[in-house]
Amino acid sequence: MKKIIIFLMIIIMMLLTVGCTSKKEIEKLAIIVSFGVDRTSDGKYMVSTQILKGQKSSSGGMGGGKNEKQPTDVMSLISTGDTVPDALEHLSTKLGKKIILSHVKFIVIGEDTAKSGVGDLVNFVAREHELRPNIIFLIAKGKASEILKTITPEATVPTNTIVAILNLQSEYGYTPVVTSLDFSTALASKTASPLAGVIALHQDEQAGTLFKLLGTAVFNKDKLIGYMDEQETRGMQWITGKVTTGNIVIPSPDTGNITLDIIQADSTIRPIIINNKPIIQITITEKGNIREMSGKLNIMKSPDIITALEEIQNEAIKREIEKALYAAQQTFKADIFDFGGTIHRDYPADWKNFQGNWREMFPDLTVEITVNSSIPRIGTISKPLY
Amino acid sequence: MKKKCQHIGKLSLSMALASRSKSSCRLAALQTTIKSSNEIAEKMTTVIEHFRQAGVNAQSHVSHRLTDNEIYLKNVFDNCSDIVIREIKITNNPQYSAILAYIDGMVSQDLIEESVIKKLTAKSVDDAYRPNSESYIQYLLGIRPEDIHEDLSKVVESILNSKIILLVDGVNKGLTIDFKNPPARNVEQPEAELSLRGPKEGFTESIRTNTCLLRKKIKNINLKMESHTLGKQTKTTIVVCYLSGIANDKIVNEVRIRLHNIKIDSVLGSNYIGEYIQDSSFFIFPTIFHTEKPDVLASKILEGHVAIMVDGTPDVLTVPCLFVEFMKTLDDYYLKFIPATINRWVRYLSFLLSVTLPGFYVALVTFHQELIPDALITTIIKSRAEVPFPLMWECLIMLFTYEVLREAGIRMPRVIGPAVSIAGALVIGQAGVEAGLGSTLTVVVIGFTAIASLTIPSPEMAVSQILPRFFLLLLSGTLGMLGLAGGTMILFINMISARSFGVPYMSPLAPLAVNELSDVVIRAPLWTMIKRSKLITWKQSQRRRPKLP
Repeated sequence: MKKIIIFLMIIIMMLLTVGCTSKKEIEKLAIIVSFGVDRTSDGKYMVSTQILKGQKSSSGGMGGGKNEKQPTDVMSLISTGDTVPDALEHLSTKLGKKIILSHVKFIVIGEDTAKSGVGDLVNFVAREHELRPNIIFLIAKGKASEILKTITPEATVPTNTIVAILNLQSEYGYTPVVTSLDFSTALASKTASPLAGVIALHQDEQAGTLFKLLGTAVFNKDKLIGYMDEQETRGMQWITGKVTTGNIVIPSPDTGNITLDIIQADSTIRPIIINNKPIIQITITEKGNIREMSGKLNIMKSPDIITALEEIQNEAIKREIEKALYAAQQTFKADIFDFGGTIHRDYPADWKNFQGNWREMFPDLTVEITVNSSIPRIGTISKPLY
Repeated sequence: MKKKCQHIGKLSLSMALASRSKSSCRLAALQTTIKSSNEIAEKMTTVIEHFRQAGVNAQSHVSHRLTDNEIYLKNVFDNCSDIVIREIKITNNPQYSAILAYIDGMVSQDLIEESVIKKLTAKSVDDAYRPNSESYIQYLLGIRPEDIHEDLSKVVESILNSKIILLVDGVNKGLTIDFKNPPARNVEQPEAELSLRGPKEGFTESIRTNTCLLRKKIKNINLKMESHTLGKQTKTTIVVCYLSGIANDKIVNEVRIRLHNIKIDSVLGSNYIGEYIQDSSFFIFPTIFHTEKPDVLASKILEGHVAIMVDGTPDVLTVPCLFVEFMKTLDDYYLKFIPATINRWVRYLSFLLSVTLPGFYVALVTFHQELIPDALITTIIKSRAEVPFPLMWECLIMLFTYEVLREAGIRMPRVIGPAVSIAGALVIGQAGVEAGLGSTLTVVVIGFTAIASLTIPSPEMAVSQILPRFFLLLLSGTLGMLGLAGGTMILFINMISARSFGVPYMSPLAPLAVNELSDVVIRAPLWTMIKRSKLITWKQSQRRRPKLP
């Protein structure tokens, strides 16, 4: 008897707490996988979305050129409104389904919108409970709606293509993968500068329209101030320790170039304070195998050759990092590496003195770079072939 | 008026055409006569029955006179054409007459001729015993003292139990000879418990065969077999088997008490007994283990369980019974221990999936779409696009269809088997999905659930999963993951608080007994299982000597 009462109590408690109201049939939902934000001429927000389609994709047009319709699983819809969530609500006048944001993978922000300030958008993204904190911010060269309308030949859901590129680049380092959480943290901090990735369309003669991720967009607070190209971006990723695979090309002591394949890379940032001035010491440890070598250099002759090559590798990495530091300190005068944060964590008492005029101190900051690289393997042949 | 006259005219040619009322009066009188004579006839038959009963009861002892006994038997077995009463003369002497009474078909005819009639009608070698004395026949045929009855009711009972009764003129006792040979099935592999390796014998309907099959496995004087009779009309023999010294006396006593308290008309299957002695009829999972194989039963008895065999059915009950026993098969012990452990895990996982998978699927897709992995979301949207039913109803309909197919499959004669399976597969699977009545993903989920439920070795457990499955599906379809969690909690509370003959149902999992887990979580190698499980025996006992290094 007691058991039956307990069972009834459990069921009634569940009914009273949750109820059955949050039941949504999946075919009545519009699942948005990515959206883009632009501004119209009269100051309203124009939101372009990619929504997963419920119909089976049309089976025509498989082998055609770039002018024929590609089979796709998404549809693009655009709507306008006073704010970004308002624009999303207005989608319901065109689409008879309830909008669900839980599956959004990234947000594309148009260039003009970024220049005029993304504060409101970031506020919305951080506050909305359905948007995950790991969605990625991208700045479009041009208008965001152009990017979101494009259907590429590679996959039926273009969002997945972009996500795949981003996943790969998180290891290669040619573009930063900035999540909503990273952006919001940088925005909220008093000294750091937010970043975002950049996406553009690329016309390929054979394959048609493809997406290309290039470099970094640098912000001052919430306004876009400039771009860094791929080399500078990689230098920045060396500092933050995000580079784990890729190639380095170094000039060979003999003739030609040597390509090295990065296996492992690690970076340590250590601030020290000397005479009330902060100095940042960056130590990079890296291991790279020889992938391609031109010329007649025979490595097996003596171990000094490898040591010499390692020195050249150190120089190459150091140069990339210096490029990034120059861009950050001189061109943009923005602390994109969050050196301020590292000093704050290690020397909280001294940071109080620097905090106020960090913007002026940052361009003159001394950064010492030490690179320790090694070449563990040289591939499957040792002597050059001819 | 003319018509009415004609009507009366047809009553009788000799009667006057007048007075309709007179004839109706006579009709009424005739009807009352018929009625009263019917009543008298009924009363007469009851009186005759009474006399017959009295006659039957009056003669409760075997009388000295053979004719009395013969008349008694003929009265009792009135209208039974399958009883045979034969008269023989002992030692061919016309003074010594005897009759043999038995039921045709139940006894072995050749043995009667050879061992009984030939012996009895042969001339006696010496005159140590008088030919028509009880002692002569008793020692000639080797009859046990307990097979000699003075009571006529016991004599009738023996005849009904397929024994032969020998009544001798001048002896006031009936002698029983047992040459039982009732029609019986051969010992063959039971269909419900197939074994890959290992013995393929199965119990049959005759209780003597079953007890023999058990004795062949356990050659031990401690194997006790207690016999009871239950069922007012059917008077079925029940045998309780246990190993004294290993089985707990309290449990054996409890079994005896519960069997004693059964008041039942007929016992046709072992579940008739099972329903009376089980702890709770409303518990969804079975608390009594059924088996049809002697090796399984022997292993259970050696663990300390008590077995109950019922005459007329090959299904043997074992008490007490724990949940984990339904997940084990004896085949595990006939394979090496690593594959056996993997098989066991597959069974545990399929049990869990078979009960919770439909509910989990419905809860995920209707309430928690944000949890669906990206790779699956496109598939799910596409497959649900054209289906008219909400997902919970679709799953319910498909589960119900599976249950219909399963029931139909049990009764299907082999001839139309292929046709029905094709109809099932094509109609429900293919055509239903093509027509848009169901989605392919739901078919996969429900199909997998159905297959997973078949991995459970015991049929009783397999069919008990159906109710929890529907219950969890309904709860998760209305309340989401919280409903699934609440439903699972209710299920667990129910399972944990159940007992089987005093032993907690879910031990050794709850209450946790770490020593016992070696045979539950994995199938530990046989040489490590030194101690017998304490759960059933309630005392320390050793199975085997530890393996020397």
